[in-house]
Amino acid sequence: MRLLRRRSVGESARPEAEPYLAAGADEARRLGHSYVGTEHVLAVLVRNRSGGATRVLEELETSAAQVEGALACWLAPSKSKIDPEALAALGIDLDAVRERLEETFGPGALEETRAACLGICPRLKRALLSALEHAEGNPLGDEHILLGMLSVPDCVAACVLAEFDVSLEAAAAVVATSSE
Amino acid sequence: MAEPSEVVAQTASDDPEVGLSGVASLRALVEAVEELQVRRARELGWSWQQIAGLLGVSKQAVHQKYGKGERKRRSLR
Repeated sequence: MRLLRRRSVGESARPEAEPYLAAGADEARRLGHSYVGTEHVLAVLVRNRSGGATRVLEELETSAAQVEGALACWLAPSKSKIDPEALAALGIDLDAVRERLEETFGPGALEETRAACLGICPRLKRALLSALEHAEGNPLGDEHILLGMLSVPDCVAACVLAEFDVSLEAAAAVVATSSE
Repeated sequence: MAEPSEVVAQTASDDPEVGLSGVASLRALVEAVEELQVRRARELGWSWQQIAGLLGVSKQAVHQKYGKGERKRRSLR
């Protein structure tokens, strides 16, 4: 997603983590949120029912559906930063504005600006960095992202998982046994 | 297209929620358009002074806001 390029985690993380960041960002944008956080990435992980994170959670007797349920209150849709409906109430047609801007500045110009850009929660950055450490040079998988998020104890994903007694220690033990 | 009177009526909407999110959206839109225009003017060789004059702000303000991003973009090329 283009919104993240300028202040990409690339600066602090690695390209391997980018697909997770991009998927989380898509989720955030779909909900009209102005930032992407661990809750968005966790939602992506548990939606992948055959993924490594879902498997680890199942070993810990937590289903993906349960986690999705607990995440729901964090993932309520909201109005995006530039809300077309609110502008329409002022008599401004955002589509028309966008069209004019694209004539001069090219396709997607408006979305590329810092003002329309999604912020990245610092805890998500830390979680992604930590995920790379957990992967220890192996291809980065869903389970490593899960461990990364559990390594940042105050992030939303870790708080949600704590409701199901999913701790870093427990999850790391499952990942270690399954990779043996 | 809404009739002017209708627009005025909606602008003075009784519902603060609509009104306030309209303000926030306008502000975000202004920021976005300003960024596009300033960046392009710079690429076309305009000085910070000229840009600031038209925006009605100080040269320092506009430079502080956009100068850093410009250096970054240049170094990426």
